[in-house]
Amino acid sequence: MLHRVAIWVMVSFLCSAIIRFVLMLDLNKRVYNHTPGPCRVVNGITDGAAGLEFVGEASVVFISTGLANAYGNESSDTGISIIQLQKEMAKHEATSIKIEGVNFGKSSFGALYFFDGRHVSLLESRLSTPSALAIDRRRKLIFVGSLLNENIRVYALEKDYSITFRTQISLLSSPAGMHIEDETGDIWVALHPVLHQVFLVTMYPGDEKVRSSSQVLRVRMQEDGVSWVITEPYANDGATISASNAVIYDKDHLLVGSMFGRLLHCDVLNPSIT
Amino acid sequence: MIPRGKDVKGQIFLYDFNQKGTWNVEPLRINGKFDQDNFHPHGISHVVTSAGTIRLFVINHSNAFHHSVMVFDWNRKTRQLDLVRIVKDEKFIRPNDLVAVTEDAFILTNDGSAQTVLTNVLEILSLIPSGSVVYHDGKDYLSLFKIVDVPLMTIADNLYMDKYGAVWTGAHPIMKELFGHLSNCEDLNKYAPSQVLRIKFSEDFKTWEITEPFMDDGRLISASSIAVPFKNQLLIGSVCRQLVHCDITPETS
Repeated sequence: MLHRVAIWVMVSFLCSAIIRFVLMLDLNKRVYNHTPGPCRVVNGITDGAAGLEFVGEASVVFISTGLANAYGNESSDTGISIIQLQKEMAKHEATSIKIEGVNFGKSSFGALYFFDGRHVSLLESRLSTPSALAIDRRRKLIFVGSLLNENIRVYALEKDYSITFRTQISLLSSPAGMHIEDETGDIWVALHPVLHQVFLVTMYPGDEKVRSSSQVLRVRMQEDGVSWVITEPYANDGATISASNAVIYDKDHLLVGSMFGRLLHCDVLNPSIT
Repeated sequence: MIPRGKDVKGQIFLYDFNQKGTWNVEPLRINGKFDQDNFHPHGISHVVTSAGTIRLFVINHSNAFHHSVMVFDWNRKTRQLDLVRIVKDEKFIRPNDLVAVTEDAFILTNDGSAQTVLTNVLEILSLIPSGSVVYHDGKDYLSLFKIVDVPLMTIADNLYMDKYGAVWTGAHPIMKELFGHLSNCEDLNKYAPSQVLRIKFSEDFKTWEITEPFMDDGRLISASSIAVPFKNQLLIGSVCRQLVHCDITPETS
């Protein structure tokens, strides 16, 4: 009798694990296409725009490209490109930058580290699949996204560079890249809304017929610092831009970078409601 | 859906898309012999008759949950509705919406067959396909054949087809919030998300593109059921609350 109860407990645990896994894959989920205004593909980027870095002082965006090379697609060109944001852009084109020297990087799973120029120290451990990371220098906040938990953890950055947990933002979608709008403190998130699609994209990085949905959310923290409002400025089923991985927003310019394919530029017509 | 409050009155309104700077509806007076206390209009459709008259077909549910289709002609001069006739049929089991085919014929959907609140809940939970599509002209029967299924992954409510052939629908993306909202429409603290989708088909109807011109968590408009575009304007209706007018552009629709 006791071992029969044990069998039933194991069966129910197994069933709940299977159900949780199926829900995680987002098999029952999709996005519906919409844009915040006119959009166009940026010329000069064909092998991905998985990372975007905005320099506000010069209104330029640096673009890392060629991530598919790391996923087994050796024909994907790697490098860094640059695009200048202007008020009236006659051309939407990114030009590549020549790189001299070798770059080296290492990533770790499940933790947040701080490097002060000499030593590496552990800031936070037991994080589940940390993905996107962003800093708000003005307000001294650190944002850490979790790909599988579908949330953003918000930390206060103290004077000694330790961090204090503040709040957790549930997104119901998997964050991949984050950008903080310096002026407003808004959090712009590039996400993978349908997780099994992005798994397939990483397995076939060179196949243009394998697509994944793209999504951009904007999180606006309220005055209390622990509540927020989320809007969805951009969503696409993958036909225009596949597997969004990075996002930049500045003065009604929205840039959405994909893992292995295009870079998209959109005008934001109504930023107050987007 | 639980019966509405005592002060809620069944009415037909007119909205003029060509008004400038105002967003007003005009309640229409109905001429003819009918029971106002049992007037609870639901789905609606129109046709322009050979005489140029605008004819409305309106599904009505009485307090005792009896169903009929009321036929009105709209008088352009008086801007009033004249009741032409009331159509009743045993095949009107639980009608939801209808489309006018000719000035005497329409196609109508029954959204289920349960007649009480309890059996309705059981029917929804069981997912038994007990709805039906009925054609009525008092004479002949027509048949339908299936072309394509479009999986939307949301609860699509009423449909509107624009002049380019795109289908617009008001949808309910979260079912549990919809049920909570509809169980007590008068409680303004309860609301449900609203969504408008636009489905553009290819020539052979084998592929389509779905865009989402409007989405709200329920605080602006609760439980949208229909969306009608007109010249860069979008009118969104809800099951039991607000009517919202939006400006739209081709890029964001």
